[in-house]
This record gives sequence, structure tokens and C-alpha cells, in this order.
Amino acid sequence: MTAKKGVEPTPILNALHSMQEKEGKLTRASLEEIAKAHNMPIANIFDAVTFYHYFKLDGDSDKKSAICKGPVCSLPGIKGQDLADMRSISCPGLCDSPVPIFADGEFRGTKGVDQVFELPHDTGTKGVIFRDSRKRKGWILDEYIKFGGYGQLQSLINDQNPEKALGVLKESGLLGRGGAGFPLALKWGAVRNAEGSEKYIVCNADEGEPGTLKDRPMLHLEPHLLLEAMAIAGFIVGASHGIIYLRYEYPLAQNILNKAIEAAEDANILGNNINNTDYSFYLSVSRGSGAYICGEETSLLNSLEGKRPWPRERPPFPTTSGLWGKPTAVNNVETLSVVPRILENGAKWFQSVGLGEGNFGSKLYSVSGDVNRPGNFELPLGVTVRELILNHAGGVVGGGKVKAFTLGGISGGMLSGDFLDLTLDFKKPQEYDTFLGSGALVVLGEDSCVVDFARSCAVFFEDESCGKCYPCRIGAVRMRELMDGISGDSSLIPDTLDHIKEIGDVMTTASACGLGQSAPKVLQGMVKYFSEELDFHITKRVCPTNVCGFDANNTS
Amino acid sequence: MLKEETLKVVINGQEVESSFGKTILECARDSGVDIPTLCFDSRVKATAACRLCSVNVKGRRLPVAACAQKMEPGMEITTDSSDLESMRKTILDLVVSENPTGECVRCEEIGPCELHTLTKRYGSKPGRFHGALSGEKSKDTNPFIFRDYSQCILCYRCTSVCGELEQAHAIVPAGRGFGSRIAAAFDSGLLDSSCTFCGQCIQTCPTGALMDRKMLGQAKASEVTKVKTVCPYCGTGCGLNLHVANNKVIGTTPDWDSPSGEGSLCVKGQFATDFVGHKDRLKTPLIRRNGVLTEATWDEAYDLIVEKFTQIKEESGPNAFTFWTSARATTESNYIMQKFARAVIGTNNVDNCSRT
Repeated sequence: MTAKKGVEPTPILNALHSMQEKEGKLTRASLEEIAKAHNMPIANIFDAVTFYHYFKLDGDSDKKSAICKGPVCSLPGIKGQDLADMRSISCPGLCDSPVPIFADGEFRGTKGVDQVFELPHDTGTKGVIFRDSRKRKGWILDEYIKFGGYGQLQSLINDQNPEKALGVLKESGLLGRGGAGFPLALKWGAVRNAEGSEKYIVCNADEGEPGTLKDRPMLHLEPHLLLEAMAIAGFIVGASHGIIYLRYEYPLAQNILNKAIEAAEDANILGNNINNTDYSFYLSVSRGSGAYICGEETSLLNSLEGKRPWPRERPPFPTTSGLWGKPTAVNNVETLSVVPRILENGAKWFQSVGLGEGNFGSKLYSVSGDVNRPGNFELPLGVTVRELILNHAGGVVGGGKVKAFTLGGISGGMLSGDFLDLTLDFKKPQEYDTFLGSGALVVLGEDSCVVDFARSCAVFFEDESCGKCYPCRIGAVRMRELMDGISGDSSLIPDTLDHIKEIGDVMTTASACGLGQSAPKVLQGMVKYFSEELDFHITKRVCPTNVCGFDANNTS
Repeated sequence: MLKEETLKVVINGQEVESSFGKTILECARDSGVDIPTLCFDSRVKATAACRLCSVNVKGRRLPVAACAQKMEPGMEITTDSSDLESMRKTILDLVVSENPTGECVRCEEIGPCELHTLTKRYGSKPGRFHGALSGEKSKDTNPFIFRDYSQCILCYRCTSVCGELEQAHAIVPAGRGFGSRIAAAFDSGLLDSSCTFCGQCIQTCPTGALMDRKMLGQAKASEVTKVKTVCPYCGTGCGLNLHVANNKVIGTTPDWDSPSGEGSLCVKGQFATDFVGHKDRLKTPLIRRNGVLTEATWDEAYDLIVEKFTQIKEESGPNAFTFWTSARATTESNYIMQKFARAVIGTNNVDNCSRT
């Protein structure tokens, strides 16, 4: 039996948000009400609520206004002012409009909403996801349909041949765009073959990686493309529910998605018995509450279930035991959004879009930091760093050289400006102990200090470590303290480099999830490629770019 | 059938037979291979927080947590390579870096704690990594459970045991990252929570963060004799060890091998042994003479009971009696009581306090 419209598979997070919106905070009485309604012990609700940045318990201090102090926004060429006295928020995905401010429940870039709500930069290529975005308003159902929207879903339902569609996706070689690069068809095939009649499609729209802002324009401008893709996924794997886990920092996307779902359901394009067929697919949006770890798929699932969003041990993988223990496909916004295009144009076409051997399709690259034109760029997978930074992102501010750049936001590692010929795909960066990840690059010009930047990265991971496993929980703090020592506090200097190496190794090999495993990567890149600059800091107590303070009392 | 359920794996070069469903840790320990752990309690689902049990599995890029990873046929597992051992040492150095240095009260008074047993084994000393400390002493004034979270290593055994095993859901992890803490809902004291004071959090704690408040300051661990016995409070018969120092019972720990409780106790068995040496404890029968309870011999007491029972039965009949038995009595004693009511007195008025 299929569920009726309005049945919410993940009600607890939404209940908490509704209560907080109504009362401005979460009181003991309201949490007890929610606990009772969902048959949960009150302590477990308390446990989950205290984890997030934006749930506010009665008595918590008011976060009236705060500013992003993330690694990108702390670069000397960007921050523009001393941020020491201001409260901080974790990266809200507005690295193309620094420095973002959180006030009155809204996140605002300094360029204003209009410019944030903009298309990826024109790269002169046709585009895959944003192919039609300059010609019509994709968030309006009629316009989306006019350009062939929901056509792929309808053909799939008419053909009743999910195996064939899965075959096309397999042949296309589409790898997951969220960071891990796992073959999509393999994942969907596993969910399709998993035992159980109840299955879920979950869209991971919780990009929280500093420098990563690629999901934002897809959610804002092409919501129906995502919804269509999720319904296609549901048909292929045999799921009737799709949940979009949306990061707290994208409230506008929540409105847009909810309106899009409503419009499509009203038109019977989604929901109960789609176009009077036997196929029903229900969609809902669950909003996170500020936690980078929730981008990790098993943390995300725990979060959706109203539990403490710690990562789960794998196996079992979500494909067999995901949301509520049911087979679940968790996919990134970008991965899903290309699916209708592949079904429309075929696997061969998709393969032909990429550059170089084995690089299939397009990729959305986010570039931020010391560049003239920060933002998103839809380009063939396998473009070089040089082309992306120098041609598309307009090069370094002031015309200088690229001193360093990171990959995968700040999780994929850091390389020096000597690596501009690196191709941005899923294979090549691994030869240098780095990985493409989300496809976000943070660029440092010659006026930026890699040591100070690495310290900012360490602060970020300390703030966002979930606190479950020892290597990450304790290691992230010690790494930040070591970076404090190198960049200012002289009481923390001895054994610095040995300790960075030792703790970094343990974090990389023994942490429970990708967060802890990749947290030391920028620091490791610093040690590997910037030994001279590092040595200046450690032995001469001088910052060549004059960014680090070297005030013995300044440990922040 | 049996053949399908067993599987063969290789641990440190030795072929070992195990069964499906077991974890690497269980299989290793079954075959005498020691893998260190801090966050593991076999009674609850593995949290895999400490990562000390990480082992190498051939074909896997990174080590896996042996406590959470299920056995698969043909696995080749290494538990003791020098890389793994040095990783364990680093993790232990990190763990001790978050707590204040100094004497461990638990090691001193109750017996060596798991953390310090391991740090001794690995030669791990505080101070190699220095920096911020985590946790603080709780202000909770409950009479039973002493909570000093400056000694806590966030293994989350207490919260798993409280929620999953005892289903009390009194304490949970709260906050996140290095600021994670163990708390009751709204950071209240345990008396204001759903805590049943079963004491299992104390028993699973691998450090001196949770201790029996009443046992503290009573004796050195070396002065304590443990006497294995059965809890006298109810018919369940949970096994416990009385801790005796200077001929005085100072507290209790569970007998993990006891078949009836498997180590679980309730508040009475865990914390209420003070009556053994209490000054108000009855040592002889008391007979009320002229309105005052006075000490008597057992013969005097039984003579009086026989006299009065006979008199009542003759004057008012057997149904003037009703008999109540106690849940603290054994099944055999309860049986004898109803036999006495029915066969000797002749009434069916017999009941037991645990019936309602």
C-alpha cells in the first residue's frame, strides 16, 4: 500500500523547526511535547537538539548577528576588517559574496541577494544542468515543462523498463558528484536489488564544505530538474518516497522546493498516481539545523531520523540499510540533476561531454578566494586548474600568481601553484594525495599566508567534528592548537611538525568517517609544499606575508 | 547446516574458525588474540569511538574497527602490526592529553581502571600532547553516582548502557566535537532525570569519571576483600560482590557471571547495603510488653506466636487470618508460607506483595 499525500517520513526535524519558529526557541515543554508525539525519550531529543548550530534551547545565548570566519572569508584579501570581536557562523555557502552575515534568521552575502541568486558564470560551453537556464525560469513548472521537463519521467513510466534506464546510466559512467565519485548506476542497482518493499531516495543538499556553493544555483534555478530526477530514481529502484535534506543555510531553496513540489503535485506530475498511472512518488524537504557532518550520508540519515547525527559504521551501507533501516539511495543534488539529461541524450552524448580518457560529463566547479570572478562554473569534467582559475575565474586578484589552491573545498587537500596543469577529475588528483571531492577550489594569491589559511581550516574542522571518534575529536583540537603555535602563540611550539605529522596520520587512517580522515589534508599539503614559508614561521617567528600576528597572547 | 554457519578467516597468520554474525573483535578474543578497546561493552551496540581496536584487513585501504566489523569468509586480518601499535599509542597519548594529570581515584580506591591499565601497557604518558582539557566535575548532588567528567574520555559506554541496555534513557551525549559531554536532559541532576540509579554507568565506566559515591574515601583498593553473594532484596537473586574493608561492607559491584542478572542490578542491590552494619538493624526478636518493644529469645517469640494463633483460630475461625509474604523471600519460603496458611491454619487468605 502506498502512503497518502502528506505522510511525512521524517517528521522530527521539521517538528523542531516549526516549534522554534513559533516560539523563537525550544522550551522544555515544547521538547516534551515533541518527544511524546514521536514516542522518544526526552533525553534523546535533548541529545539531538544540542548538536546543531541553529537549534536554540531556552537559556541559550541569542545569536542575533554573526559573520562567517571560515577559511575563505578569513583570507587577508577578503576579510577586510578585524573579525576578532564578532561572533562566527560556519561557512554558509556564500563564498562568492564574502563576507556573509547572519542576521534576523537570514544569511546575506555582501553583494546582496540578487547577485547570489545568479546563474553560474557563462563559460562559453553549452552546459548540461543549466542548459536551458538562460532561456526560461526553470523554477516555474509551466516553463520547465515547455522545454521538455518531466518528459523523461513520463517516458520511463510509459516504457515500464527501469532496467533499460539503469543500463543507460551505467553506460554513461556517471560518478557521484558529491565528493566520493561512486558510480551512480552501481548504487541504484544495489538499492533496486536490495530486499524490502519500502525504499527511499534521499537527496543530499547539505553542502557545507567551505568554498562549495554548487548546489545552491541548482536548488534555486532548477528545482524541477531535481524533483524529476528523484522521481526517476524512485521508479528505477522501487521507492515511493523522496526526501531532500536541505542545509539550514539555504532557506530560500526551501521555499522554492516546497512550491515546486506543490505545483507538480497539483498538476499530478508528482505525488499520488502520477498522470493516472500506478506510479506514486511523494517528495518532502527536511531542513537541517547547521552541522557540516550531516553532509556525510550516514550522519544525514541519523539526522533525518531525529537522532544525534553521528556517522554510522559501515557496512551495512545505506543501499541495504539506510533511512529507518530501509534500502536507501543517497545522492547529491548535482548527481541527480544530470540524470534526466543523460536519459534524454543518451550515454554516448554524456561521455562525449567530458575531457580526457574516462572523464564523462560535466562538472560544476566552485571557485573562491583570491580570484577576480568567484562563483560556479559548469565545465566538462577534466578541465585543468589553469583553465578554471586563470581563464574562467579571471585569475588572481591584482594579477599575481596562484600561490596555492585547495581541492574539494578544504577536504581534498592543498597544492602549490606549480600544479596548474592538474586535470580536475576523479583520478588525477589522487596521484598527489588529493581528491576532487565536491569540485570546489579555494585559491590563495601571493598575499595570502598558507600557514594562517591552514590554521583557519583547522579551526573549521575543530568546530565541525562531531565528537564521536577519538582521532578526530581530540586530534582536530590538537591540530588547531599546533597551528596557533606556529602562527602566533610561542608557548605551543616544540615538536610542532612531528606532531602535525603523527596526529595527521592517525586522523587519516583511524577516524570513523571522511571528515576526520580529510581534516588534516590542508595541513599536510602545507608541510609538503610550503616548507620554506613554514620554516620562517617556526624558526624565525616571521610571517613573510605579514598575516600572522605573532602576539604571544593572541591564540585565536 | 553447521558448515554453512561457520567460516574460516586468518588472524595474524593463523587460520581460525568462526561463525557468521560475529565481529572481528569477538572472533579474535574467542581465539585468544587480544585487541585493546576502551569504548567497547559487549552488551551494547558498538559505538566504535575509540578506534583502538582498528585492525588491518587485506584489501581494505584503511584499518577497520574490529568491534563493529562483521566477519566475512576468507578475511585476512592483522591485529598487531607495528603501525597499528604505534597508532594505538598515539590515540592513547591523545586521550590522556584531555584529562588533568594526577592520581586516579578509581585506580587507588576501587581497582585499576581500564584506561590506566592500557596506558601502562603502552607506556603512554600525559603531557606529550598538551592543550585544552575537556569536561568538568558535575555539580550533581545525587547520593549515589559521583560524576567527575574531567576524568571522562567520552567513550559513550555509560550512555549506551543507560539507553540501550537499561532502557532508562537518563544520560545521553550532548553538544558536539571536543565540547561533547555526557548529560541528563536539560543538564539536570540525575535525581530530576529518568535515572533509576541502577549504577550500570559506574560499572561500565573505564575511568574514574563515574564512581560509587558511597564507596569513595572508605578504603584503599588493596584493603578490600570481595565477597561473592546473592542480593537479599528480592527473589530474582542477582549475584553481587560485597566489598568488605575492615570488617565493614563499603559497597557492591555486580557479579558478571551471575546467571540471573548477568551483572545488572537495581538501585537496592547496587547501593543499599548500608543496612548490613546499620545500628537500627534487628538482631533478636522483639516482644511488645506493656506497650514497649523489648528484646526476646526465639523460643519466647515462637511460644507467643503459637499461643496467640491458637487462641484467635479458636475464637474467630481460620478466616480471621490473612498471610502476606514478601518478595524478598525465596520461592521456597513463599511456598512454605501458603502451605502453612492452608494446611495448618485452614484459610486461603494468602497473598504476596509482588503480585500487584
